Amino acid sequence: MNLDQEGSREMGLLKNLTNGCVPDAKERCKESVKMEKVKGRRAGRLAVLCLFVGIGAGILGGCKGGGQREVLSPALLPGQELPASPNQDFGDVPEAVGRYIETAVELPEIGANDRFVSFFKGKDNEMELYIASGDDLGRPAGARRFVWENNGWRQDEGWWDQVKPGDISVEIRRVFYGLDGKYYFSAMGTEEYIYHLYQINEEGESEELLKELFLPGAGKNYGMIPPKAEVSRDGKILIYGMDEATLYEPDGKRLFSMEKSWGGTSENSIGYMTEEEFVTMTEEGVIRYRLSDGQPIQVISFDGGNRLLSEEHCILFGDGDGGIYVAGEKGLAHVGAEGSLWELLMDGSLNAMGMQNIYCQEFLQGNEKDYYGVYVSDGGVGIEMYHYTYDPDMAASPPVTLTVYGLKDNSTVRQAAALFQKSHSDVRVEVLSSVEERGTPSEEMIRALNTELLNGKGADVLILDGLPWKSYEEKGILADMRQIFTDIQKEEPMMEQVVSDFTREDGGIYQMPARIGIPVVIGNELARQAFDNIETMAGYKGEKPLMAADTYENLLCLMANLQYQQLFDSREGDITEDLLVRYLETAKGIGEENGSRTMFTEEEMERLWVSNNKMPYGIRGTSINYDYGSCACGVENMLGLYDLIIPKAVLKKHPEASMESIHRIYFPRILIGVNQGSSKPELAREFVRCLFSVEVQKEEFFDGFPVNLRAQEENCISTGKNDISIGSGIGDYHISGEWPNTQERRELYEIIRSVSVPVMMDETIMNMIVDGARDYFDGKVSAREAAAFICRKITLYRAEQG
Amino acid sequence: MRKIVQTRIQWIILFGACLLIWLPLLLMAAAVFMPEDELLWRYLSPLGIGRAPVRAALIPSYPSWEALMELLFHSPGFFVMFWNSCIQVIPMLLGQLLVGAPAAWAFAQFSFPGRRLIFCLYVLLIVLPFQVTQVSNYLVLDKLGLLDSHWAMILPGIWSAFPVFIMTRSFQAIPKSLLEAAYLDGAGKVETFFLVGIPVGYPGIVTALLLGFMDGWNALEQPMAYLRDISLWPLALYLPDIVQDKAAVAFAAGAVMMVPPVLLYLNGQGELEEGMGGYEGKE
Amino acid sequence: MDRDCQNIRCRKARHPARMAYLFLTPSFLGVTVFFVLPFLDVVRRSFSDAMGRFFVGLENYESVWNNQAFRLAGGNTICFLAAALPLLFTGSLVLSLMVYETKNCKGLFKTSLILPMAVPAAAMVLVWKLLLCPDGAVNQLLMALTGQIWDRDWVNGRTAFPMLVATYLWKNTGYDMLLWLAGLGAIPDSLYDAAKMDGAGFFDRLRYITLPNLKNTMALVLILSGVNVFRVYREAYLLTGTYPDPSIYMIPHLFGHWFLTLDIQKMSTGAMFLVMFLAAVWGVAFVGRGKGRRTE
Repeated sequence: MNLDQEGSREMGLLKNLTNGCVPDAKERCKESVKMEKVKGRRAGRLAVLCLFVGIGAGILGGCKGGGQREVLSPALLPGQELPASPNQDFGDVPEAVGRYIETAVELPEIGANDRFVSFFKGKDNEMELYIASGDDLGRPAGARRFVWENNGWRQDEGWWDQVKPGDISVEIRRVFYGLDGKYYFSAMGTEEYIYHLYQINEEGESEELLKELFLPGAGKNYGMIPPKAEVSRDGKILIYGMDEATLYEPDGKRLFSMEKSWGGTSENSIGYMTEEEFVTMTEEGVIRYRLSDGQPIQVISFDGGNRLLSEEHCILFGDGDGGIYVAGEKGLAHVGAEGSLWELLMDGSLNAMGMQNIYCQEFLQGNEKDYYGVYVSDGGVGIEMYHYTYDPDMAASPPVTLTVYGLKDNSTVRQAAALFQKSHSDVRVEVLSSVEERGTPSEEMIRALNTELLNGKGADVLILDGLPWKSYEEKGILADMRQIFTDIQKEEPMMEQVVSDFTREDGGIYQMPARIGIPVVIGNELARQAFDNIETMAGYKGEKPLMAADTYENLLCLMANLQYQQLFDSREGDITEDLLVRYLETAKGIGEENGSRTMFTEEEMERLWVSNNKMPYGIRGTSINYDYGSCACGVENMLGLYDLIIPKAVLKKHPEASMESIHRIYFPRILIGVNQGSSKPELAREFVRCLFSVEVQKEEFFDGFPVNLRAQEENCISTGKNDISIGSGIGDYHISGEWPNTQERRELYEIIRSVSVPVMMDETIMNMIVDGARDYFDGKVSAREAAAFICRKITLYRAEQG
Repeated sequence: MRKIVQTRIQWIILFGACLLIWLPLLLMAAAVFMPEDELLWRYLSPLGIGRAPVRAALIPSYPSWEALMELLFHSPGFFVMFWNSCIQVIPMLLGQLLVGAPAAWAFAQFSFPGRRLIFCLYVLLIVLPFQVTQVSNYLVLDKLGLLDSHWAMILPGIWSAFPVFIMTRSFQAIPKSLLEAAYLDGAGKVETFFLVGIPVGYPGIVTALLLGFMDGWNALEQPMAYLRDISLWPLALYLPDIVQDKAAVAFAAGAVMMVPPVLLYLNGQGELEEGMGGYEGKE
Repeated sequence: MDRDCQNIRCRKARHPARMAYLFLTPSFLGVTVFFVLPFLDVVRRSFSDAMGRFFVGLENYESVWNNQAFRLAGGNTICFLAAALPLLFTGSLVLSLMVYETKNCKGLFKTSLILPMAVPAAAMVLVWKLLLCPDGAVNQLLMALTGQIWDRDWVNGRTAFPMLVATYLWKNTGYDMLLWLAGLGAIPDSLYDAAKMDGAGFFDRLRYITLPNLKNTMALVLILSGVNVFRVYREAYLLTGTYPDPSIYMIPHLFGHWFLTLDIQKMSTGAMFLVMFLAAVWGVAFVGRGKGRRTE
């Protein structure tokens, strides 16, 4: 489950790097290829000449604005009054004035089981909003239509009763206004899972279109279920498919298809139709097709805007003049009718577009230079609408910038940034993360950060995960946050033990985790007791091995984290050689019993359900292995309620088993600290407050549980995700579970509230142990030799600080 | 007879040395033309993904341009960085020539109080590892407002002591007789520098610039420390660590990155020797 | 010695110091701003606390001097210099003499030797790994030759040090050859012709003409090779990790770690020790040369 998420995230990142190519760059490509072919001295000389000419051009180009940033800069379009880009590359340029501001639009009352359907400009350019209703049990119960009149929504009473098909019961999916001036809607049959497309005729009644097309083919259970359909001026119907969109005559005659793929994302309804064109996305960029014959006219690469467009949820819409808008998490960008340069109109990080708990569902241009956006929350329940108007007097970028830096990007922090900006319109929160994913070594990034910090600069707020936070504290880089947490404990308290675990002897607080992860063991009592210490782990005797097979690296890591107190937190200080020997021998004993390896072959990976990947904390999540019967217990690292679904299902099947915390350990995550050298200490403090507030803490981003008590309670009672269920299986084995109910959630939070031992394993020492133990596990050296070698390195590591 | 044997041995040694150099390079070149799957299949172990015997190959089984094409035609970021590298390195070299050559001339041909001391200082500055002065350099660049711009790479590069050091050595080797002749012809000090120093010290200048180019082209720590804005990053920071999912592209990037320095060298190697041919020895 | 003095005197007469400063000033100003000032800051930091706020006297010097990690790293670095520099020095000199003498394929040899300099570290490291790792090509070759099982990790344990020296030589031989060739090119052919007429053999020519004329280049090569020791760090660290086998744990590793933990004052102090070490070597060399001259 977790693996899949990681996978898709990586896909997105890959896209980042491969998206598009400017025509300009293509020419440069040719040059380079040329360069490579040339050999020999004479030719070399020529090529060098070419190179220099090229370089000269490059320098000139560079002088104009440098690299890709000009692409997004409005400065390139003189004489045109355009809102200035709040692009970060320009930093705090004081002269730049003008920015879109966001105001919430009040929506009609929306029930708990209602669902957003459509939002568009219909007849007479009036905005229309459609909401599907659900009854108390969540079953579809019609739909409501609203029209924007006099700055408010007027409900069109009885709309659904009039248009709903007479013959069958359906659930509405989408309503749209065809370019031919007629209304259409699509729906799914509730009895049979078949897609229906209807046109609403003059009398306001619906007539089904292309009926045959959507029926299941012979021998199939499902027919075509297009994500989106549109109707052209002359009544032709465009049906969106997975990787192409096909145009049909109203009588069902297929005309032609136009390719439209965009990576492996689930969003395949990206695109729109104008009088003459169909605009959509392919991997190369935004593409315009001629509607008369389906031939591509132009591909507009993303280039500088690629970061802007690489997010999953994005919306394309036209400006009515042949230009194209794209709205996504990173903001709103526009390209002119014949242009190929994207211009960033709104910076998504400054408004709701950048929020992590909701995503943009519809975006459209108002009647002037204003825009409306509809956002839907992750579970699909919450609907929000915002109006964007241009304020020429507003600074293009808020005058104050608060920077937050972390090695890895994190949704909780982004969410806090978005909310913080909402309450501080004059502050821009810039969330920077090291670009580790591009292959930049993180040590170098830390050195670069240290350079800034040592000069009294650097980000105002630091996310310390992976950073040398202990040194930062010792050297006085981190500000004392005791006041903040005293206030927090008074106003909206968080887990008392977490605060006290991070309070130093003198009462100072320099770091605080905003999230925590909880390791749990699932199994019968005997197995659970085996986790008492490494000796009991080694001494466990049962029918099945104690734990599932894994790489020795993960095994060592898991033991180090779960037996942290015994191994690394003893009174003797560092781990002793003798203890290390026992630790290694225990790991080997467990490993030999369950078939662990230093590296698995493909065949073993398939058979044992493992991979060679390094898991966080060494915990792979083995409750399904336990259920399958390959080991005596399952160990899970819980980072959110999602992680409870499968273990709960397993527990239901095994009445002898229960789930409990191990040594009451928790893993602090998103360790926050404030830079002592920050020039905006007040804002930094407020940001920390915001990060620990209920609004931020209650959202789930798979990065840990909230530490805020009220947020925990809200998580227990919220109904937002009740209809989620997850299945998991390998080969013939399958298990599935439902979203935990309030009772089950409370039980988990019971465990969470009981934890009191923060474990933060020193990565350097962990790596030394893993590296040094490899030869031992491969049988080349004895445990004693390996331990001695590891101890030498640890001593060296300690000596550096001496 | 003895002569022939000697030449043979010489050849064997030289070819041996070349072979030692070529073997790893060919392994790398082969990797550039491997499709991603083949690369993973062959080099699972070195890439740190799994354990399997390495299947080293000098010729790929399924030669492909995939990675190179991906890099050259589908990675605009690569070109931005390529140009950034050029923007940072070329002015730096010009500056080194303009500023460094006269300084080297002063060290080599003049005697003045403090000459030895200043020269020692220059050498010392070369020897200090970058890390040591990284923080202090940041301070200076910050005070001058150069951070986060190409100048943060160009200006310190121009005043690197390194080219001065190399050029000084080469200017010192200029035969005295030549200078005497110039003075006898009535050339002033400045004219001598331009008419004798530059043309005769040419090999040293080329060497200095060539090495300077390689240094600047491969610089990694400096841009990472002083350029927070990644749109200014030079090519050396394009996939500087070979990560498994982009191994093929990273290899291709490495290969393309080698092209400009090698071409420059091919162009410059003749000058390295030609300049000095028939002049009298030093001193 | 006398010759030198004369030389200086006659130069002095011709070129007033004023002129020299004219040539030097543009460079010196920039060097002062970009390098000397930071260096002075480093000196200051070596007497301060971590954040550079308080003066702590010689405390850092004491703690760094007594630091076991520093001693290990310093010792290893000196070992490395002692092992690698002579090899590199003579190896590159011999090769460049050969290349210089040879008539055929000169260009090929010269170009080949220069290539390693241009290879980016990351790509190179993967090649070393595929050769030297336990599953690597070197072990496979040895297995084929000896019929025994080889699964040695060459960059760990006893072989780590020689391997590091080997990669250093591989990378830097061409670099030094470039310098030698420039030096050799500066020796006038007329000298050799005259020697040949006198019947001097190859080694005589080497002894009396080539080497004396390469004196300047030698200093250059030595210093730059020393500098490059600090630049192999990236390869070493990609190849063997941040905490490698203790036998190849060197100054750059230690400095890197101190930097990570913000122990900048220790790093500055370490650098000052480095400077002192250099000054000592320099002094010895200078005195040695002075003595040599006197005996001449």
